Amino acid sequence: MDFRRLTVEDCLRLPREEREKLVSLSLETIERLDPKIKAFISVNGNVSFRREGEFWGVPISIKDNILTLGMRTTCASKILENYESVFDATVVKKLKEKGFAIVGKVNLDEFAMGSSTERSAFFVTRNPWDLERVPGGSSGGSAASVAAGMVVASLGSDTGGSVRQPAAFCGVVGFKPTYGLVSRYGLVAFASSLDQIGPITKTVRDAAILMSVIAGRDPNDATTVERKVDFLSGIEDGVSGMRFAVPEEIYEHELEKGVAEAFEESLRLLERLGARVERVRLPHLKYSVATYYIIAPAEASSNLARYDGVKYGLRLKGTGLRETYMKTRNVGFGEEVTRRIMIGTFTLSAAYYEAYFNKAQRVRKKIASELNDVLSEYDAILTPTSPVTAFKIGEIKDPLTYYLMDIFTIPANLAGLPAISVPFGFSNGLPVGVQIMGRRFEDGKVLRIARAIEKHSPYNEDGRFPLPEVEA
Amino acid sequence: MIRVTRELVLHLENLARLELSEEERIRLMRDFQEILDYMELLNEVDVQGVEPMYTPVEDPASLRTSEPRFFDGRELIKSNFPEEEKGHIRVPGIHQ
Repeated sequence: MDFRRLTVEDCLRLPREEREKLVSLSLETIERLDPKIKAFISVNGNVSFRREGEFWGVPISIKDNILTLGMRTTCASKILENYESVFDATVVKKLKEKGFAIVGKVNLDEFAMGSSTERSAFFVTRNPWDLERVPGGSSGGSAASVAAGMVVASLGSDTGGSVRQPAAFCGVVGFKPTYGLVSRYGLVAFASSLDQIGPITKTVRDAAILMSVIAGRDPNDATTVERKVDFLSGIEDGVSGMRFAVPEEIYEHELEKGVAEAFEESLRLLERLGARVERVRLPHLKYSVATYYIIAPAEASSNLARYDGVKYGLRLKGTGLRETYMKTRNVGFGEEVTRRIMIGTFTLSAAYYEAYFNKAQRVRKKIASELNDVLSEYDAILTPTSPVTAFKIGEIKDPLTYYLMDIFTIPANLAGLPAISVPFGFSNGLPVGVQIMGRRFEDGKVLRIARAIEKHSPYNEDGRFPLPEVEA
Repeated sequence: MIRVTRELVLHLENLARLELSEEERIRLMRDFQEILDYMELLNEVDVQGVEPMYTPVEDPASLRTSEPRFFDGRELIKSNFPEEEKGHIRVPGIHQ
């Protein structure tokens, strides 16, 4: 048994004595490879799991902004560096009930604000395909821990692409569900109207399996909906007769050559499998980034007001309460978090609220309507997940350049749509991701399309994208 | 077109309860100006008669009934207190 390559489904087929070994194999692999990859903020060396539940003993990692009893939840921020989780997030509770073993908490950009995991206050995670490059972000620790084969699967969170983009950069599958399907209870809030927890896995089928475990209405999250979604039963049904829309606007964007080529090749594959691919216009797509970078920081500045050194987390004493707030926040937050709090404070301030925050919410409505109109005629919208592949650590310094890379992933968050990144081919030896965006609550169909690509991709062996070799 | 001035940044720092160093402030002013200039793009969009979309959820959220419940992890909550005195959080004086 080659532990690094095991999927959730593979684990289920193992005989009991092999299954018993999975957790220690995972811990050994972490010990061997993580000094190079640096995906883990905390490792639970004494992880306890019951030998009951369908998935007993399957080792999984959790992004360190999701509360997990018995472990810290740091959000990769100095302000929460020593914060002990006070309950299990609903998704964690569900995983534990099914027997999954949570072996560790993984790195992210501080408070999930970033696309490279370089903005963790602790350390930079490395891409298992090339240790000089970023794993993407913000769920970079999740994607790297899965791609390096240190765990079988992971949970991340996606506010503007934070599950899909690192999955694309690391050559694994990342799924952002329809907003409202998965409880955010116990996920440290960044931008509450955009955040959604999603799986990062080695295969599309594993993503569907994890979705059937974590989805569902939760009385502790009023934005979850009562809706039964079937993620798995139609997943092998293929794409014959489906119609896909490809926005013309993506070609107006600067696309890395190898990304454009791999994306075109995936479209030809879908046509060979019996689907029709057509170009459409999405004239409002170009406003997504500006809209997002008004709404997300506004929600963040409000959500992060709670970190003030009073009830938990870092406290730096000043003279009186006000100075304590200031000192604590100055030292506790990193540069990107500070920048976004400042932007959000600006767009929410009385003088600019209408011109920025409310305006952006109206543009958001137009973007969502446009996407829904296209999706009323097509089964899905296809784009590359990211215009580029994994870049070098330290390569991108200008915040706006960095924000603009999120152009293809942001629309699904603004409109609350399900979207997946599935690895397809390479550009200069680095994995490329194809994104499939579907109608709200048609998560099953999005997974089915991704599965068809995965199953028939010429880059895959037995329907699986290769994993990188990592030298210890 | 908004000009990011030192006064504006100081005002926002106060609202956000943050205090930047002069070096950080200068860097933030530059990045902030670039970002706000980019956001001017939204002026092209006609939003006449368009309702703001604060959430993707179609139906009004159904809230649970308001019933007091005991929370199991009270000791854990206390263990996260930055400073404790007899089971309470100790905070700096408000009027200092």
